[in-house]
Amino acid sequence: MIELKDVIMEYPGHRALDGLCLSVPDGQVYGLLGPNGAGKSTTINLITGLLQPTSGRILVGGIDVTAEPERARGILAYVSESVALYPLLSGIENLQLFSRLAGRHLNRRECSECLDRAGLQGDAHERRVGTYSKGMRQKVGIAIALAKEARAVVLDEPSSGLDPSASHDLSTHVRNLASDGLAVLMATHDLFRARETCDSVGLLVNGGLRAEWKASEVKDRDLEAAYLDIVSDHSSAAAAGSTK
Amino acid sequence: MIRTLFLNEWRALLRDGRGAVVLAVGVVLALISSWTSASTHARQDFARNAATDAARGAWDERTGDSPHSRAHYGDYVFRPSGPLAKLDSGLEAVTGRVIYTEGHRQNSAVHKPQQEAASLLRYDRLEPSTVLQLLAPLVLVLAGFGVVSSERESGRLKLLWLQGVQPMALIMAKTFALWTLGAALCLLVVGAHLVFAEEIDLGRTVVFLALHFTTLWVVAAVVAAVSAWSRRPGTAATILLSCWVLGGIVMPRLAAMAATVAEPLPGRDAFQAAMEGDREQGMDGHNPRDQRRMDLEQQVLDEYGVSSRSELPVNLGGLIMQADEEYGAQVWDKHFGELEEHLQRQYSFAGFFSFLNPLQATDRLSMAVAGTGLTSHLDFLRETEDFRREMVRKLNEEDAFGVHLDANGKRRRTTTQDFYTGFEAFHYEPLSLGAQLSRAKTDIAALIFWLVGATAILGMTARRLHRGGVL
Repeated sequence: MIELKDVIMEYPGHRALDGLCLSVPDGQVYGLLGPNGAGKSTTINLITGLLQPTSGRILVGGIDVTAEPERARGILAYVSESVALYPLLSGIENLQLFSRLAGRHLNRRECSECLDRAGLQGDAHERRVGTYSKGMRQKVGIAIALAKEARAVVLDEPSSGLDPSASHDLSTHVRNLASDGLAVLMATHDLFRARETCDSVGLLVNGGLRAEWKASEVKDRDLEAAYLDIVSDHSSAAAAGSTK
Repeated sequence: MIRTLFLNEWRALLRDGRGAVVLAVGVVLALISSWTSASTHARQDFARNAATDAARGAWDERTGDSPHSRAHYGDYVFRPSGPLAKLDSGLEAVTGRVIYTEGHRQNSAVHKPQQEAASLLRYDRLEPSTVLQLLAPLVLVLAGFGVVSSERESGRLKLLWLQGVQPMALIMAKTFALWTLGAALCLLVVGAHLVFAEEIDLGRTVVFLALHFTTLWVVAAVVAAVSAWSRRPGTAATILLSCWVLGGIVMPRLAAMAATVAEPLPGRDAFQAAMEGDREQGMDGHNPRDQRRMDLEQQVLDEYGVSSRSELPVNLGGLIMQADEEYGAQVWDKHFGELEEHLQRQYSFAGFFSFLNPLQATDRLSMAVAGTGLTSHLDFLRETEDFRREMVRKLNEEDAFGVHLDANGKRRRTTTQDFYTGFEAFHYEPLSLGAQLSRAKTDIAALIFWLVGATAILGMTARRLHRGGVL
């Protein structure tokens, strides 16, 4: 489970998160939507322990990220928009390296199995990652999460720049992670992919969660219209506030 | 974890060609520098030995000279190469290795350009020490400017962090990988030297290696730290190349110039004039009307209880020459002593720049270990002067006492050729390593300061990465 409780994050002269509360249960995919500057990246950096909140608590698998950052990192995986791997190493070598750093010593066969589970075709396993497409690198990123036996995964704009087929493929594997019991938080601008992949969707605007929908509701509503309405309202309010 | 990261760094170095290029260039540089240095020294040593043999042969074969003529014969004495001169020829190119010795003529110059400390630089020739002290740091800069900054720029740093990598482990592994690259280069260069060397001073070679290993650790640590503090690899490269230019090229000259300004040495002409001025206060052994000479003559006549030089059982000329020589030695001691003190103060002043520049500390220590620095040169001059004085003393004494009065009261010389051939050739024993290093305390302190400082910087860098520097 990933939980954020009344999280406030302030930068000098700017409050990025304003009492954010959010919960992603195990076995579920949560889509975090929001315009640029809404606070999505700050939220991810807080969950991954790269930033420390001004106040509030962040828990991953029940572990307080601020109090026990190393334990929290031990059960958390992260897949970025463009998974940064070592281009001169093969998929297997990358997986072996990152797993070893996480304290898991996998042999080549086990690595290959992880890559298979993440959907990377077998003939690519031994190829250098420098020759991989973005979608293939994300599959290695998912394999790293699987090899690490993470209990929670954070994905940052995973479908950005992927073609529809690769994007669909990604959704399938993200769903598989949830099926394995992991709590998955996915920050995205892709409303369609969010509707397809997530169990719940939250809309983050100006550092606060302005709306949340369950999967069933998301399917029934016109998400784009709701998104635009809410973002527009809050943007106008923020502009008015700053004018005053 | 450090081992995994270290091995991964080396794998990257080898796969992207950086390591292979560095090692290939290292082999070429090691071979070229060692070969050129060895062949240059072999040529010089051959010429030195030939000249020494020729001079000795000429000395032994000359006949009919009086001891006084021999004192004026003059000879060149040759300094053997420093124990590790093939690795670091130090100041030998500036100071030379040959000194002319002659009776009544002390060597006035400490080294030819005695007023120009700035000229005591030697980065204009390719020899093993140049490769190790100038090119190896550049290699580390070029190979390592992106070790951490490129991880950050690509986003891998974030992934590494999430995988539980400790910033200290990361920075140490990166530094260690860079250092081993430099150490490999170092081993290649010293190894090539050992291949070409005719004789090996193992103790000095080990200290020489340890010195350069230390410096390369400092450089590797600075490279990794700057890379970690820079947001982009390009920024790190710019900063590090600027540091290299400053440390390797600008600051050594700046230090020497500052020392020259702070402790200016007398010009060659002024030094010479001061020496000659004082020398004139003594007696002129060649001028029969010199008052002091006449006083000594009277003293000797009184001592032997005779009234004229012709009645003396000794050659008065020899005694006068020795008295003149002894006075000249006092003048030389005074001026050379002042000049040596001056040079030492200048050298010490420049030494404080080692606290700003680790490459300078290494350069000076390397010369000390190789036995080719200023300390060695001054010691050689002292030894040479001692040799010259002893030789002249023996010749003057033989000139004075190597005579007898025959039955006709005519003075006859008793000096045989064996007297001349019995003179021992000049032999210079270099200062021991301990003696050399005991005179380089400032530079040793500076290098320790850099070693501790650079390692502390790694700790600070790790703490910064821990506090959000990953982003």
